[in-house]
Amino acid sequence: MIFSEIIAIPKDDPVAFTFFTGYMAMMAASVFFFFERGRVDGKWKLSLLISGLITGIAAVHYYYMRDYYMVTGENPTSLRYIDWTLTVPLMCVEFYLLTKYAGAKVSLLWKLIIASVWMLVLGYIGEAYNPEGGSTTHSVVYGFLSTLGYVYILYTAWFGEVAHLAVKSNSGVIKKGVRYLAWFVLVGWAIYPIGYMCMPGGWLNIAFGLGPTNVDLFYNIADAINKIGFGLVVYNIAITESSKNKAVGA
Amino acid sequence: MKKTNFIYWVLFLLLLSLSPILKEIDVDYQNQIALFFILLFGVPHGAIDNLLFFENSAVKPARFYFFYLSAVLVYVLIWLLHPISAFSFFLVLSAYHFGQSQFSEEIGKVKILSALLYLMWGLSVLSSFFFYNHEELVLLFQQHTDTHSINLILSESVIKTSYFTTSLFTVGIFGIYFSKNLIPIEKLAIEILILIIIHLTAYLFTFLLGFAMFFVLIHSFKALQSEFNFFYRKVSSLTLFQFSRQIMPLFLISVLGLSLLVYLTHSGILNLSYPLLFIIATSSITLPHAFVMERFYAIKKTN
Repeated sequence: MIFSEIIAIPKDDPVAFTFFTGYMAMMAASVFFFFERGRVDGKWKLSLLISGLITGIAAVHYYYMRDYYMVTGENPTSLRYIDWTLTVPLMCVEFYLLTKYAGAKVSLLWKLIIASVWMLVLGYIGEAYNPEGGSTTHSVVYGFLSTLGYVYILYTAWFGEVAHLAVKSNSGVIKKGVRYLAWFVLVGWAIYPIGYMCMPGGWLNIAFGLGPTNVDLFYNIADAINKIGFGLVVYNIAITESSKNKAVGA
Repeated sequence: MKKTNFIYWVLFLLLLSLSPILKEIDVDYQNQIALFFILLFGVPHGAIDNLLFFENSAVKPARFYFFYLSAVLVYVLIWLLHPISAFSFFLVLSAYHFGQSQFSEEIGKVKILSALLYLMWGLSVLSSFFFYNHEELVLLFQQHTDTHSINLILSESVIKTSYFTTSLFTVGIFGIYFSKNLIPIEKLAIEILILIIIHLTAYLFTFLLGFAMFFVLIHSFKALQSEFNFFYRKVSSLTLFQFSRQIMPLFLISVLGLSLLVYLTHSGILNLSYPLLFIIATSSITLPHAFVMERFYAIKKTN
């Protein structure tokens, strides 16, 4: 692949634009989280490392996805789901780490990871094995089943174990932070189904004629919001709590 | 976020993922399912009006029932004399009542502004269902001669104007509340999100299915929850089963009464179409119910 071919982003191709922007934003976010890791207390270092890994893994995948898209003009479905299979469970790890000091057990982490894997595997089957030309039944069945995993994570974040532990933590910053993350799951993660429904046979494809390119557009926007935003919320909690501890120590 | 709002969001997402299949299901069948849920969960939230009224009231039960039934009969009379006025008043009353149940527990400090918010929010919600399902409703009301007059109110321009105006007003009132620090930002975000989802529900599903989702989850469940909490505060040993038993007598009377009306219509004794019968029955009950709930929310605020 010649570099000059890659760099030529068509002016009227928002998907290509968001692939490039997404790649740079994820990479910049990783550098930020890794560097800032040195400024926070020991107990928050792992959280920031995870934030950096999430955006770092995504940056590498975006590097490959943008090339794949630019050359073939097709959805990089496999790369996309490989990225998510690594990064979404890591987001669940963030929930666990935030509430760990309020007594979160490893079982919570596993439950969240299983739910996220369920959500992704069924989403992948729905998307990657969609018959030629698109099958509504296939898309709907796997979309519905995948949504159940999302609903479980959403419930845990808003009303379940994570929410209870955040209240138990007695830390205003953690309560607020977990609530912000719950908002990301509620609104930010809800952008993904919009992308999913754009594929052939999907509801938005049938009703509004949105096509496969829109799948990537929605996914890229959602990724940028959720991965970087998620990390920034964790960073904010870590830096605020660390500053507080420094002030008490002084 | 309240659990009722959360359940609504989840149900919306699940039904959204199933929407291509839902569209294949016959509209009549969808309507029957929707009506079943409206009756099953909608009627109970009003089937405790008597007990709500007797709290903090010296009025004797016989007197209460007399006025309650009189209000129902008066409303039926208005329907007979002037259907357009009866239907218009029903819409405004329902809108206010929906808004009141949505906000009265959290937003109620500024009386006039609150009342305006209840009305505008309710109208925005109701008109969204009419606006996005206009064709379906016009066809339905055109099918029966006794519902032709309702179509006059549901003219496209009226519904369109009402939808955009009331939605803008609602957002404007939210803005005033926020600027005066009368509503926390998270609560505001949730309310805006819920309003958007209700509008999307109206847009995505058939009229009755969408309305049933809103009416059951956002309105009835919320009202039932408030009512349960109200009695629970007085008797902390109150269980859900006991609460259901309190609801049961009026619920059964309402269902029997409605079944009787359906039978009378079916056998031709009552010369009404089913849509009009349903609207008259609902509106006639809504009038006294809205009064009881107005008093209930006022009592809750002072307690």
